[in-house]
Amino acid sequence: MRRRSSSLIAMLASLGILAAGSAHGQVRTQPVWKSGGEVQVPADPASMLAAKLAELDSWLRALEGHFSLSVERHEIAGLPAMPGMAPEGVVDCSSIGAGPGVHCLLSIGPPHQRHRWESSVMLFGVDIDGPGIHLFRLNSESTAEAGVSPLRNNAVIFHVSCPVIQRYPRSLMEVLSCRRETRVHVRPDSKSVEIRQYTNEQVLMCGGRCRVVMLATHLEWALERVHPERPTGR
Amino acid sequence: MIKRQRVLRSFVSMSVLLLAEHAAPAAEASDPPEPTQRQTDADEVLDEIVVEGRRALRKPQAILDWMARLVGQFAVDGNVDLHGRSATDLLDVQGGSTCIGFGPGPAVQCELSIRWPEARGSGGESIPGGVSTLDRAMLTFGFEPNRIGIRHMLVGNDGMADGALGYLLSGDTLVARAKCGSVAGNCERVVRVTAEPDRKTVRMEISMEIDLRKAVTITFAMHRVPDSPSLVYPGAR
Repeated sequence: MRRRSSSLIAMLASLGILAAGSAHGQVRTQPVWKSGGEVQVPADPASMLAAKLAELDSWLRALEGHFSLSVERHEIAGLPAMPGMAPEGVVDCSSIGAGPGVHCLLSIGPPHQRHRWESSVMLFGVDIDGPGIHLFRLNSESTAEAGVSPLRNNAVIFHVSCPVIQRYPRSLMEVLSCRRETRVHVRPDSKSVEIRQYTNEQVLMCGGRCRVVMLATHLEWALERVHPERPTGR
Repeated sequence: MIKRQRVLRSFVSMSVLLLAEHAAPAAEASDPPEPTQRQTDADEVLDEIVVEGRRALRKPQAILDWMARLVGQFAVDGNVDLHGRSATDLLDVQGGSTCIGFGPGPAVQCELSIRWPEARGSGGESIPGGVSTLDRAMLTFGFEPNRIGIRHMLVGNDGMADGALGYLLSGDTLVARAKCGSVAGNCERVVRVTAEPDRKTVRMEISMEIDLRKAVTITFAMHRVPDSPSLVYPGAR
């Protein structure tokens, strides 16, 4: 009798270990996204959260690496922002410690004139409450903007109130407000990243009589991975 | 009678000071995207409250000057207070930090390597702050011109991000208060960074309150390494 009960306990323990292993494996190894974009959702909230965090982890790690940057599109009010000159740059993204947080240093400027390139920073981390991705951006003017976005279809979209920067004399044009949408999309093969930025500035223009107009800026960057291997963490 | 009035007056001014310190960053906790008329009114009201010697600094150049004090290489020491959640209450902190400037401000990015001995709860469970997530971590500060404050974000070695908009109170101390980004549930995080004009030491305090109870307070001093270089990346010209 004692032998039977100890066998039963051993069997239950083995089942428990197997179940735990399977649950662990589900989070770690099974894809959360199927090829058709259909979501594979585990049943209980804890597993759902773990699966979502694993998905964020994998997306963030795909950002790590050294990329070349080309400007695919840069228009202000539908017109080329810098006619005849397409800026270029490099982007270095590395993990923060062993975790999935990613730090990217962007250097962008006129081609073949590295001494004139400007540096900016993008910092990506996990927001546990969403759960989603938290983006913090230091622009080349030393200003900061931050936003949180859920991850959908390998992309995050941040809607932020961007810094109001007066680039022209106020007598000509005064920026009243600024809204920005930034979309970061990691291609499924992880070889390239696409960053699209739509900025809408509400501007007061005074030429004779004053009027408020919306100034839309559309910027698209294509980041191509230069080294296929991922760098070690910082 | 006079004594009672004096006590009452000092109590009121203390309350206003405390309210000012807590209210200014708390207003930014949810960090709404666009400053509406209502928020602008609220800011004006806060200005009225903060006027008692704790007015938030609203001068862009002074804010940029303050951020420049953070650039450099530092040796770090301090402690972690687990507020009775572990047998070892106070843990020694050691490490280093390199802070790089970006752009004309400059904005600042600090790479932290800060360690302390691992601690667990009385039942052997993991507790907030029991293991260092700051070895390594990235802490960035940037100017927020719309609100005339400083926005920061900290990403630890667990990948979790915590960020908030803060204000300079008393000229040398940045105070930022927000809901925790790295702990789910009812958790509030307060960051205080004091950088004196002599640039020798930067003091930081990161505290977390979970369910209105202090859970962990990380206090450390960053001592500038003598003759260490200060690197600033070029930004917009």
